[in-house]
Amino acid sequence: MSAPAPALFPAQYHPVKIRLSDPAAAAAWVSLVFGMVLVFLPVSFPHMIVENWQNGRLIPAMIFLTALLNGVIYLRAAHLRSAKPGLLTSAWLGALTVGTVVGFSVLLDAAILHEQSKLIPNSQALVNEEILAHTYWGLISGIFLPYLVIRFTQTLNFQTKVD
Amino acid sequence: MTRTWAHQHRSKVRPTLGQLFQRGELGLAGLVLAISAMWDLQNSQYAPQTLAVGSVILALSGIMAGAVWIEGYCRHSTGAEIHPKRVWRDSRNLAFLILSIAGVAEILLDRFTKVMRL
Repeated sequence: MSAPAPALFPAQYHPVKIRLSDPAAAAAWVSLVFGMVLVFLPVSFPHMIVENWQNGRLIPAMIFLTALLNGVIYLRAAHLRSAKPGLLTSAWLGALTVGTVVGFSVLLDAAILHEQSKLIPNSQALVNEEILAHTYWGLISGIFLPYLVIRFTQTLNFQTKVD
Repeated sequence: MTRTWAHQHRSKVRPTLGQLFQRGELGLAGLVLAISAMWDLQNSQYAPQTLAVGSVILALSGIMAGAVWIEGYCRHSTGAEIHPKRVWRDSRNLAFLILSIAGVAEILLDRFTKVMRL
């Protein structure tokens, strides 16, 4: 008896089920590394971040780093769960990552304007601290928030199918 | 403490950390830690945008960590299918994230306070 034709039994498509623990662990390690670098290089590391922000290189670098990390997390989750990475989810993940980081840069501009409006002698030092803080929150959010949205989207999709 | 208890009661029980927190109790601890870090952040002199961003991230991570504990508890109470290893992993990773964020937030707050005093 001959084997069944592959077209009659197409391979089942399993989308990658995202669990928040995957990006949480990655974001936690990024946060830990950021904190340690900040403790051991308290002057040069913030100076480097501020300098890159002034040159306009900070936001593209953050987008690249978060997108790369999110890609690695997504592919690792797909590999661990023996699932096929979907093109739509990948594109959605990329768009959310870029949107989050760009959104944070807009908020950073507003925060800088707020600090400069205080009219105090050390306002530049406060601006530098704001840039440092926003870089940190932007990195963590760029990793965690896109997966949070995808997780909720997947849960809603699942509930719609059940209903 | 478990070893002391086991010694006192002449028991051979040797639970691991994963077994101790298999219902996601670390998620609850993470939620409490997130709330205290948010409290510290709200008392700082950062710009409102920075405060909002930090608080929202901490709140979201705390809520998700708390949700792991709630889901584990509900599943256990109703007899629904539960994966203790998955609950332990989820609660551990989210609690680790919150601990790490809270630590860095305190470092940033300390730096900002020092700059304000100059």
